[in-house]
Amino acid sequence: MSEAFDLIVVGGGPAGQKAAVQGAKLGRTVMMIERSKSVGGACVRFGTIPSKTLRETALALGKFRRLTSQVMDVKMPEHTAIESLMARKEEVIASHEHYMGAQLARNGVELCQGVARFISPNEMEIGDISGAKRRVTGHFFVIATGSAPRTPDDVPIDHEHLLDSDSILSVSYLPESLTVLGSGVIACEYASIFAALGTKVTVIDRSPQPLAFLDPEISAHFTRQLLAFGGQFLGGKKHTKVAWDGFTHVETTLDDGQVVRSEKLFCALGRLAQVQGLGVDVAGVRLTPRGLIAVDEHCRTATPHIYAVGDVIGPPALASTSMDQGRRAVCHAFGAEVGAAREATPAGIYTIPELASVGLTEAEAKDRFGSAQVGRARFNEVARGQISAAEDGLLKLIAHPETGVILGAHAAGETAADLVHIGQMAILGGMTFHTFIDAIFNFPTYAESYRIAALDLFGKAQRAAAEKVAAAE
Amino acid sequence: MHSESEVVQTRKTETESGVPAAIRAEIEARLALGTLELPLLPGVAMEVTSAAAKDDVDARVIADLLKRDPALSAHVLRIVNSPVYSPRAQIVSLQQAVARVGAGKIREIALVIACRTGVFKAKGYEREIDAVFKHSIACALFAQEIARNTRNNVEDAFLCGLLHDVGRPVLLQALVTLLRDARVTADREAILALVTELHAAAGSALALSWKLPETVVSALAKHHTAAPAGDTVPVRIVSLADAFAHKSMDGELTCDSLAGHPALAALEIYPDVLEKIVKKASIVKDTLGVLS
Repeated sequence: MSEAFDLIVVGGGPAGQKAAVQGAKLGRTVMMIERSKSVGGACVRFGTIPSKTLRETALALGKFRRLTSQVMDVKMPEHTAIESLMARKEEVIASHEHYMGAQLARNGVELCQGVARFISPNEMEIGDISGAKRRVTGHFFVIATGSAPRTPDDVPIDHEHLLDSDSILSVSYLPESLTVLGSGVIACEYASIFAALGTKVTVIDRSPQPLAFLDPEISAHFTRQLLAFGGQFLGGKKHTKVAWDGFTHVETTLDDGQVVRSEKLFCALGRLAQVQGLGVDVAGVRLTPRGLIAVDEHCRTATPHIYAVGDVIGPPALASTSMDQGRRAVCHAFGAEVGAAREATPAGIYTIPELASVGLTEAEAKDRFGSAQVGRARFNEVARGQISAAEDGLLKLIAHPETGVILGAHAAGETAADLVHIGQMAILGGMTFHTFIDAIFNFPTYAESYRIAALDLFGKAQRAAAEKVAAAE
Repeated sequence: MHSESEVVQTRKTETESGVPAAIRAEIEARLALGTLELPLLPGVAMEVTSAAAKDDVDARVIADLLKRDPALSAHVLRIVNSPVYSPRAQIVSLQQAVARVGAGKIREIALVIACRTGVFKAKGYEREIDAVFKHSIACALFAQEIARNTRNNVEDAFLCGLLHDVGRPVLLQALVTLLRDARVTADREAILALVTELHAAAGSALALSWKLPETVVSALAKHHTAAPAGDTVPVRIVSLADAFAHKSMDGELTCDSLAGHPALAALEIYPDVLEKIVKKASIVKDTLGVLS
């Protein structure tokens, strides 16, 4: 006999967690089904936590070198064990699991480890690791099963020499060289981590610019730093053949005939929604031509009592937006009040240097309003940047051509992902750049860059006005 | 009918009475003090494995190293010409062999052969040691597949699997020598039982002396006592691969036969993935035939 729940959430990543907790907070009975025993999904073991822990080590090494003016250099021994650079990983994972597990338990969410599939639109069968089955019925369902690396047919991933984002951190030693296929967020984050640790990295992508969704001035910081680390970006190129030479290297042949040889290859050519085995067809849930779950503005699938959130519905597929979707979907399901969805969603990219963006880019603003006002603050003009030996950074503010209302904020450099939140508040509050000129910021902070960028905007506006007057005379 | 605990107790008593207490104490003391005589990894194999791990590895260098050990060279050529490595044409030179199957594979082959000729031997126990060696290779090959399917390190898994029982021949050699020097005899079954009891400690001691990575040392030490929840991934992989290898060699390898193994839950291997690994048994069997 099936156990009945008000809400069944499939997937325990950020989106699923927030959906489950929201359901419980509304006083409903909730079950969360997760394949992995770690709450947090695969990202805990394969993704965010280990990669960011490794990144912190790379950042600390770089900073130590810069702050000591290279007097005290830290050389990585040959064949450094990757595990030794992630010494804090297990503590971070344990702490994360404890926190998330406690939150779910506190809210009375029943956690079930297993794989679930729909056997009817209102019933799921859960199989545990031993293969034992149980059935559960729900009034509402939230699918938050996430995504898995996409492996093109012509890239023979063996998880030994050719790796994907699930296996890249399983390599024992820092490779001497690494080819990265793709230039999206995951590709660029790993590219910069390995490059910062001394691996010779080559990033190859069809796009002429890495992180193509960013303002080119911001993504240029990634490319410049990659070059400084001894790496290279081969944009506008496509691989025609990828093969392990059976000896020592992976050979990547490009469409211009160039052959790139490297000890390992990392394929990061997108991700696919994880819907296999879920029985979406039985539940009447429709997929898009790209294999994503099709949803409306409330994250509702073609079957109205089944919602889908997070990576499984496609872009932006950020942890932050996924969590918001999970919360909103459940509020909608149970008729709870929820504010309007915000347009100004920030994006943080944990490359080295850190990159972040919120609102319109310069190009988007010009498209929409005919022109745009642009103000810049470079971190070498900011005392905090000089003190921290992190002068290679930029804050770029985009304002409305006539009103001066802030439309976008884009940053590269230390704390960029935090820094854009000030811009986000300005966008949400409909503020003009003058707000920043009149504001007092702590000194020394990176936040001061807002004032510097606003003064740049102000100066340009003054000059433009003067030129206009002169022209009229 | 004996209860399970009575049976274990009876076995233990037999073991203790079979091997003289002084010999047992001596072996345990040598293990504790790190004075147990351990075989060296044969020089050429050591150099080959070390050269093959270098970034700028050169096929000629490895071929030259191999040439210094004719027996090793002959084994390498025999293995690379086997159907498992699908040679498109007969491989006649060592350099060609290295270039064809890759430095990484040559390293594995050299290590397997070195273990076979230098470590897996104990006079009077050839049949038992041969079985241990074959089991070790099967374990190494299954460990690779488990690692691949759980996105863990494939190379480390092979090494841990290959060496997980290396303590058995090491202990057998030491026991045979001690008994001979003391001019005493012991029941064969009792000797093998003592070897089973202490082989994990002897194996990890050997791995330490060969300066193998800590992951290997700990996998060798704990592959029978693994507490899956708290142990490292290589320990879990070897513990499971051990079970795969036993079942496979007994002709009983099915998904059902492995159900309930604690490492399955610890490694989060669901029935669909388990089935994929079980399906690799025929490839493992073919490779095993060639390597052993």
